[in-house]
Amino acid sequence: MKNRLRVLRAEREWSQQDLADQLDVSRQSVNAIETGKYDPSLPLAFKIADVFGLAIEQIFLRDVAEEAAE
Amino acid sequence: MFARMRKKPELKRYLLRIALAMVIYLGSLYASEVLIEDGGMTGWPAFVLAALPGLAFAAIFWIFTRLIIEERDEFQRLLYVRQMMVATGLALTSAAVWGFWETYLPVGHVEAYWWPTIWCFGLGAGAIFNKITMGTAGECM
Repeated sequence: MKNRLRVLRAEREWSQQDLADQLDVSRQSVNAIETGKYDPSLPLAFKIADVFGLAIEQIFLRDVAEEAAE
Repeated sequence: MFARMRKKPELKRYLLRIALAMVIYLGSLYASEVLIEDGGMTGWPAFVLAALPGLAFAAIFWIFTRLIIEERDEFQRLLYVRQMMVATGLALTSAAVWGFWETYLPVGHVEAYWWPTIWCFGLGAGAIFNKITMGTAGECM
């Protein structure tokens, strides 16, 4: 799943550690989510959405291949 | 790593449990050498005493499982689970292959306590696997 985490974080001039501290997770977790190596659980996705003040679907995007298959 | 460990009570508990298990392991191993090997202890007390090092070693499985349960960071939890799967795969595969080698080939006998030992080394291999595939080995190994 793709996401806009890196862009949203850059807009707010937050480091990965800044975001990790707000989410109460490790910096490695933020990095893994940003790079698409790990898709967060629904509770963590809601937490991320709350931190940015956005809806989940404004942060996490469905893969083009998945949309094409639908 | 150590700065973050100070903040994480689950890692503190993990290290404390490991240290306690190792103290029981070394103590019971020494007692078995002195009382059974040298002192000639027999019967059920010898069975109980000789089981203690193995049980202390087996506690490592419980301790690592507790770490997975108590870890609050879901990505770290994933890394631990992957480490455990690599370790289990390595240990069981080694045991199965060596078992058949012993049956059909002139290879030396390997004492059974080496398989959980390989499992512990497998946790290290799992951390390397995580580092290669996920870009991080997590915080505990």
